[in-house]
Amino acid sequence: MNSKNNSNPNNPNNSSTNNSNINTSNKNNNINNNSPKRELLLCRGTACNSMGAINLHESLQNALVKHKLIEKVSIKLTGCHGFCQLGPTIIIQPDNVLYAHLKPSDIATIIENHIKNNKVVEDLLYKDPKTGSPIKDMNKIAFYEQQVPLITKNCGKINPEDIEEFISIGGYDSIKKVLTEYSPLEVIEEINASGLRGRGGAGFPTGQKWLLCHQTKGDKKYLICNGDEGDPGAFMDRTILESDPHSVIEGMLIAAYAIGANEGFAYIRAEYPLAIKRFELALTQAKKAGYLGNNILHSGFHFTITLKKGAGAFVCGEETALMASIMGKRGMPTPKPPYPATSGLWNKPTNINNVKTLATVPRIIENGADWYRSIGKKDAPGTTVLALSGKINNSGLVELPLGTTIRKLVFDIGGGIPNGKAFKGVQTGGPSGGCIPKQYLETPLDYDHLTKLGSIMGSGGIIVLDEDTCMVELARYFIEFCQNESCGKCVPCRVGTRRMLEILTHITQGKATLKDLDKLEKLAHIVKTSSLCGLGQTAPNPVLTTLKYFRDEYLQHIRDKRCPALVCNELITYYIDEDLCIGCGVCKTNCSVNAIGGIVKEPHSINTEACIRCGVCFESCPSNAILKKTNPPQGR
Amino acid sequence: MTQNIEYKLKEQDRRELKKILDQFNYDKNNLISILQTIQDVFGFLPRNSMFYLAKKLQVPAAEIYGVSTFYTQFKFDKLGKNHLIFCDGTACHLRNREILGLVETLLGIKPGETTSDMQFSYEIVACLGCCAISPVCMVNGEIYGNLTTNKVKKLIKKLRKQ
Repeated sequence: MNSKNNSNPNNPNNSSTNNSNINTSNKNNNINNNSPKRELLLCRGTACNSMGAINLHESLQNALVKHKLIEKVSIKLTGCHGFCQLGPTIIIQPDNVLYAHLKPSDIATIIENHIKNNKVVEDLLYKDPKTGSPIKDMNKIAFYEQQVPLITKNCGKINPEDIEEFISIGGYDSIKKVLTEYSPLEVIEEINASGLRGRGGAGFPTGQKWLLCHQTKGDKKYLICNGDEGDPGAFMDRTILESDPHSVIEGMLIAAYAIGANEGFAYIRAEYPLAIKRFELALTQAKKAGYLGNNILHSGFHFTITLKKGAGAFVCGEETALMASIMGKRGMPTPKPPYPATSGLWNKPTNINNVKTLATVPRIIENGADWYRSIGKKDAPGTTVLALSGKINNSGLVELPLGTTIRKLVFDIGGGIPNGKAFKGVQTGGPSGGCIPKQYLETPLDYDHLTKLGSIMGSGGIIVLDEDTCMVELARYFIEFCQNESCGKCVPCRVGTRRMLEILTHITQGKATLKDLDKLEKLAHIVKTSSLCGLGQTAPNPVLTTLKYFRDEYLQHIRDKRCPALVCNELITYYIDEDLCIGCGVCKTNCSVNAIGGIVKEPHSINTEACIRCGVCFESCPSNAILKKTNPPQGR
Repeated sequence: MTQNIEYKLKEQDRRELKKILDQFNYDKNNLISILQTIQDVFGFLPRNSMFYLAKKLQVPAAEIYGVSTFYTQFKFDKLGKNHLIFCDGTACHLRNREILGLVETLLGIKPGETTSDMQFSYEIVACLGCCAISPVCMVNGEIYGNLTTNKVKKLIKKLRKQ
C-alpha cells in the first residue's frame, strides 16, 4: 500500500519506482496538448488527507512556483475522487489522467514530464490488477468506467469550500427554478413521478413522505437532514458532505419549500470532523450569497439550517431517536405512529431525509422526472451510492444504477479479491443487513431483491468477505455492535441481543451445544418481530442470514470445535514451520508473554500453553513461517 | 469516572461555563451542544460542571447525567496527552485483530482506559468511516490508514518521544 508496486503484486513487469528510472520514455505516452490551461485536481477527502495529501499540496505549490507555471496550471483542492484506496490522488484535466499513491517526491516527476513535456508518468498511474498494465485514461479504469455519477456528480470535481465553483457549474439553479416556476405541490408531484425512494435504508418513496408532511396542518414545520451515518462500513454520507455540501443544502431548500418548512436541521455525526467543518462553511457561504435566510432570492420563502453534531449513538439514525437527540435528550426512539410527518420535533410536523436522498433532489429538478426514471430499474429508478470495502482490490465510493448485479460490483468494479483468495460473500446494510453468499452473485442490488435474501439495501455499505472471514465471528461482531448500541428502552432488544451475544460468543469459543443453536435462532426471530424500533428489528439479520447460508460453519464450531477460517482465537493454535523459519528472533522479541523460544539462526518454536494468540508474531514474521491451525473436521 | 469526581470548579471555570451557556441561550434543547462545547474546553465533563448546568438550566442533574452517559462521545475522566481511537468498523474488524492486541500490549491498558502517566488514552469505536483505507485509527483528531502492526508500533514510539 505504500508503494505503487504493492497495489499490484501480480505484475510481472513491475519496474522500480525510484525517481531515477521512472519510465517515461515510451512514445505512446505523449499527450496531444495544444496547451489548454491545465487543472491539477488534488483530492482533499479524509482518506487522502490521512495518506499525505496535505504535504502534496505544499510540494505542488512549491514546484509550480519553481518552474514558473503558476499562470499555466491551476491547483484545485477538491472533494473525494472516490477511489480512496489509491490515495493520495491527483487528476490532471483536461488530460483525464489519474496519478495514485503519490508522495511529495513524485510531484517533481509529474511536473517535469507531464506538465512541461506532455509525457504521462506511467509508473505513477493506476495499474490494472489483472493485466498489470498502467491505465492512462482514468475513464478506462474499470472502477470508474461503469459508474453513473449522479448524486456524486460534483464530488472530486469542485472545491467544496468555494460556493462560486458550485454556482458556476449550475449549482443552486434548481432552487431558482423551483422558487420561480413550481408550487410546492408541483415539486412533490415531480419527485413522486421520478420514483425516488429514500436512500437511507428503508426505501420509502420520498414524494409520498413529503406529501404527508405537506398535508399536515401546522404553523411550524421542520426539515431534518439525517447525516448520522453510524453503521460500520459506510462512508457515503461523509464523502458527499465533505465533497459537495452545497448540493445537500440545495436539496434541503427544495424539500423545505415543498413541505412548507422554515427551519431545518442537519444532524452530522461528530466522528466526521471534516464533514462538519465543510458543511458549516457551506452554510455560512450560502447564507451570505442569499440562498439561506429571509426572503430567499426575493421569493418570499424563508429557510434557515442549524447544524447539530451527533454525539456517538448509532440508534440516532432512527428518525424518532434522532429527533430526541436534536431536542437535547437521550436518543431513544418512540413508537410510531405518530409519524414525524404528523408529530415530530417539538410535536410539529417534521420531515426527515437522508443526505443522499436530498443530494439527488436538485438533479431531478434540473433534468426532470422522466430522465431520472430512465436510469436504474422500473420499480427502483435512479442510482445508489455504495461504499465498497473489505477484502477487495478496489475499495472506495461507487455510484451505480440500482439493479447492478453483485458480480459486476465485486469483480468488474471492485477488481476481485486480493491475494488470490476465494470470494465468500458480501455483507450489505451494516449491522441491520445480512450476508449474501457467493451463489447469489447474479442478484441485482436493489431494495426488493436484497430483502428477499434476508438482507437489506441499507444506506449502502458493502463489505466484501473472502475465505479468511469467519461467518460466526462476523455475526458475533454485529450482535455485539447492536448490543452496545441498544438504547435499552425495550426488552427484546436490550435483553435479547445480550443473550444472543452470549450464545454466539460461546460458539466462537467452542463451548456451545447444538441446543444453543436452536435457542439462538428462536431468539433471533423474537427480537426481530417484537423490538420497538428499526435497530432491534433488524439486529438479528446478520445472525439469521449466516445461519441460513453458512450453517455448516456454525456446526463445525460447535461439533468439531473447529474454525475453518482460522479466526476464532479459542479454536486455533499458532505454530512455526521449521523449514520456513530463519531464526531471526523477531517473533521472540515481539512476544509479550515469552511464549516463543529458540536460538538465533535456528528454527524457533511456540509454547502453545503460554501463547495468548494475540497474533503479533504472525504479523511480524519476515519469512511467513508462523502459521495457524485448527482442529481437523471430524467424519460424520 | 472516578479520578475527577472531586474536580472543583474554579472561578475561571465558572466564567468559561457561563460563556458557553450564554452562547446557547440557556436553552435546554441545546444540552448536547452545550456538553460538547464543555468537553471541547475542559477535555472531559467535570462532574461539578453538570451540577452547575442543572442549576442554570433548571433541569434535574440526573437528567443531564442521563444524557451525557447515553452518548459515547462524552468522557468523565481527563484523557491522556495522546488520544488513540482505533476503528473497529466491519472493514477494519476483518483485519485489525493483531493490531488491537498489540496496542493493548504496548500501552498496557484496555480500551477506555488511560495510562497512569497520562500519556495515552485508548479507545475503540464502531466506525470512523474510512473503510477504504482500513484498518484505521484516529490520533488526536488525525486519521492514520492502512495500519499494520509495524506502523502502529512506530506510531506509538513516535508519540512517546514527543
